[in-house]
Amino acid sequence: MNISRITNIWSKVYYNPNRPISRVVIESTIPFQPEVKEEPLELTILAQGARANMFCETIEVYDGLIEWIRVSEHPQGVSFEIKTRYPSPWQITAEPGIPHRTIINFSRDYLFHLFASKVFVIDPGHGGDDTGGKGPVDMLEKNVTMSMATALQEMLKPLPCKTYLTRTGDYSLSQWARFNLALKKNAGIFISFHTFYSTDTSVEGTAVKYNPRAPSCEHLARFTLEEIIRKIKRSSRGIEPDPQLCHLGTMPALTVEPVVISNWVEEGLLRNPTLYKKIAQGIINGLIRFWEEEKREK
Amino acid sequence: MPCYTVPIRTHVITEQDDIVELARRYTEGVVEPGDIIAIAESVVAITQKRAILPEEVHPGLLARFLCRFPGKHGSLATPPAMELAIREAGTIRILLGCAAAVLGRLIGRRGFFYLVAGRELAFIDDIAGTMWPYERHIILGPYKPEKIASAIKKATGADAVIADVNDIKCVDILAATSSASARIAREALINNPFGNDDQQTPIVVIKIKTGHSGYSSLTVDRRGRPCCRLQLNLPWWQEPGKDTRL
Repeated sequence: MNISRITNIWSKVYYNPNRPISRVVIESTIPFQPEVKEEPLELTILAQGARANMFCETIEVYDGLIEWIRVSEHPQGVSFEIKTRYPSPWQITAEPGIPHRTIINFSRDYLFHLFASKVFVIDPGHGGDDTGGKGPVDMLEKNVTMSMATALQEMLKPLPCKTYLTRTGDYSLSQWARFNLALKKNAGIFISFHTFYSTDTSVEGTAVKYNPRAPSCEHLARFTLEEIIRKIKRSSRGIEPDPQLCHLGTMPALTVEPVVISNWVEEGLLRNPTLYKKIAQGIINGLIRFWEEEKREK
Repeated sequence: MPCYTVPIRTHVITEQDDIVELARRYTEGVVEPGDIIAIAESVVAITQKRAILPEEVHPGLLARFLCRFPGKHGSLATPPAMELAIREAGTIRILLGCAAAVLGRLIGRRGFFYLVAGRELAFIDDIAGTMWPYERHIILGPYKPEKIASAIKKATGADAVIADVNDIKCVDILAATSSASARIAREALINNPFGNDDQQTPIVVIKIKTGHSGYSSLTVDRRGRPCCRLQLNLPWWQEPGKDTRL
């Protein structure tokens, strides 16, 4: 086995204390000589003389920094084009072993600046006696909205922003109490989680509602919808204004319905804990796109 | 026995694929004498056209009634999945399994249903139990997995196992070409190198750790893998774009 065989590539976000990184790991049978080419938003690594045992394709990442990784095989080796959303410092290290790992670390400092001093109020819909929709098997909306809210809070925790949950347990809470918390904390954004319910079990997909009184909130809703769909691969039920959110004045506010709980498939998907992380990542990606656009317009 | 796992990323395997040919192609140049090829049971079943859309099933009254009783996180919680289980095992075995499950509940023991109705029913993946684009399907357990394992051994020369693994450290070996390979795979696959999401690594080569691996002088990480983390503590983020590869 003199040729390095590329067997796998994966990526993950690591939340080191105050220094989160996106890590891309290339696994191979033996080390290869990497040749690196850098462009502002793209890093290309050529594994010289290597052969791909893994399937060569474009892998969607969308972790807030890395967009996708394109793997292709050439006569001179295997190339990995890593597309990032914004320029980011990077470093390559090696971890000998079986498989041998070539690790590319990307700094996520940019997100630190983008999220600095932002205040989020996250609202898990329903609660207590108000169970919300019920899935065809047994899942209750009040429980899954709680999981969605805590997943988003967990993902925001390492960033320098403040997050508040409107409810932290299984109890009823009026809409006014939820909105009051957002107003009291002077939230930069209010995100309410719900799931859609229909008597027609074939209805499925993701929808995002927005505060029609908040400027550009429609854009935010569209970006959020697109990014959630990219992550969880569901169909779109579109965006629409939510008149209830008008009570928040001009505060950007969203009601996110990532899935339809009355649909057999989507209720089943809610049993997988990674779905909640993907929804949270989709929302964060939507926010990044929105703030980037705001910056550009300014 | 200490061993290493080498997951291999594949394309999205469909019913058009031949699992034996895929195992041969993806492990070529990676697998060596003494290694074991492990394949996830769900992709074996998919290549055997055992991924079924629930709308094609039309569950009967018995399936609609019985699906209320198993654990809701289990694989027979929907009427179509229960209907497929009835078709696989037969009504009598299913009813005997139900009677055994009731008895088990009375004495506080679990798993009696599968013991009587058939172990293969435990390998059914209900709706949304498999990764995209098969999340709409119910995936039955693989048909004659021993034959598949033998064919892979014949095609590659390496021992093969068909395994069902989950993230709660349960490893079920459905078929193996030798008892030793089953024992090794049970230990090696405990951390689920197949992945439970969109990792796309249904083929894993298990390599046995030997004294002459050449890695004995390196440190070993908490999973027992030889490891030598290099320069990770450097303040590299202060040097934008600097290539510090070794």
